[in-house]
Amino acid sequence: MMTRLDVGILAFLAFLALGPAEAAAHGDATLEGPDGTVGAGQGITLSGAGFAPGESHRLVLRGTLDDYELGTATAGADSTFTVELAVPAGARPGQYRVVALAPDGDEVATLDLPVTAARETAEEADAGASGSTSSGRSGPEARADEIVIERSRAGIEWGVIGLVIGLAGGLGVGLFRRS
Amino acid sequence: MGSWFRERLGLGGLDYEIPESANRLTYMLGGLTAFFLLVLILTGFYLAQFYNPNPLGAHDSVLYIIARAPLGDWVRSVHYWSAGAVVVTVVAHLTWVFWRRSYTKPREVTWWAGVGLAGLIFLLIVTGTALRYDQEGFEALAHFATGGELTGWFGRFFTEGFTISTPLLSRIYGLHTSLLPLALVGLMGVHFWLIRHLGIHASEERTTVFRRHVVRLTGVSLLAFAVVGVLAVAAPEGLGYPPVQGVEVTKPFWPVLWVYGLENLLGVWGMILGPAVVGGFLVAVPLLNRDDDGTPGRHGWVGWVGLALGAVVLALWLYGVFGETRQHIGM
Repeated sequence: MMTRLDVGILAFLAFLALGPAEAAAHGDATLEGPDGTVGAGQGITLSGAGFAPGESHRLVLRGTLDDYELGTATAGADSTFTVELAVPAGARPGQYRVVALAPDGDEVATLDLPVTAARETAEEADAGASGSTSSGRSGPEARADEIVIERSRAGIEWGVIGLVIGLAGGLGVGLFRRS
Repeated sequence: MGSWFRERLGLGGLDYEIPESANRLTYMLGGLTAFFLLVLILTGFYLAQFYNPNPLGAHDSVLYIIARAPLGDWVRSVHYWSAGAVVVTVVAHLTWVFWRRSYTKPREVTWWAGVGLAGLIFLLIVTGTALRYDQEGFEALAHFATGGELTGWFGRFFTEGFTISTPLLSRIYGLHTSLLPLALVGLMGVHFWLIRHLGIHASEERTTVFRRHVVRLTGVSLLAFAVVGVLAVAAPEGLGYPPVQGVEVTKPFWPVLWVYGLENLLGVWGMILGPAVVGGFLVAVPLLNRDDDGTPGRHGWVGWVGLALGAVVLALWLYGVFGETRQHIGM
């Protein structure tokens, strides 16, 4: 006869199994892409394996601050796909991840993708090497000004800042007068 | 409650006698410097949780700190304004100690420890600037690399070629967050130990206790911190665009502008000669003026040289502020 302890242990084990079960629902999908870094605006080839056949996946370039939609990919009967996409020209240089999202929004596979500033084309690089003054560089110009950053603080952040400044000021006055 | 802590933490050791003049602001400048260094360590520890020292992710991670990390923008701005406060207080402290001739016997080693601390603070300032890894930060990093190449074997650590396993930015990060703060804390310990045992350089009678100085200093420090906190809200520190290599279009953080001005005049060697001359003079002061008479203001020729050097640094700083932006690397 099952005791309450037995039921509890079984329930706990079933709970633990939820994680792997959920992961197994999307299989062991993998993404492969270019080696090394890519330039903003550059075309890339992404290959997927282990995806659910016939299922469409959103491919998103996820960065520290910005996300970019790259496109969609549908795996064939062999659970693979290959797509040609382009890194958005306006993508800020930095460390990104390409994320494949299932229709239910779950992350199915990821690929690290460092993005650099937009690169010169081969023709422009050759023209530069030959001393041609008519060629222009396609890379970004150096800028001395600051990025305009949208700053917003949650109410609790304002509260913490106010508390810290208030405490420091109040305690400071108190100690100064006491001394 | 006070007596509970007093008994268990040995706070009675703070009740040694000191002159009343120690409670004036001029005698608190060193303590204020130490307080803001503590603020920098604490805020720096928080920032380190979000900062990525790899060149590919550094700039983005700073953007993340500003735009996404909880309190990141304010903590980073407190870090920035506290760095400025440290420069103001340490320069004022050094000037006051120099004028007071507190470097004379038996306080030479105390002075040298202080000069060492000022040098470490300068290094922390320039390494910290590089970590922004925006255009200004990259130009700072490029100066490290160029300075490393100019100084041969001695400066090899600051070149990209030192190792292929770790980029220069990551090694500068290691310096800024580990070696330099450790050296700073160690040297501060030496400095405070010597001040405790040699006494404050003041001729007045000892009519108050050190504990009262600590209480007053803490009050002043907290008030100064409140001002920094408000500045961090009202004038938060920004961030430049991702760097473009091979050009110089920015000027450095304001405490370093005197070196920038010297570079405009002498080229890239200015960034080595300037700090070397100033640092060399400061180290030499107790050896150049060994007159046992510790009367403040009676410096003789050493004082005039110090005054002239200070005037030159100020003039170079003003030139750095108002002068043109120039390319130094590759000059």
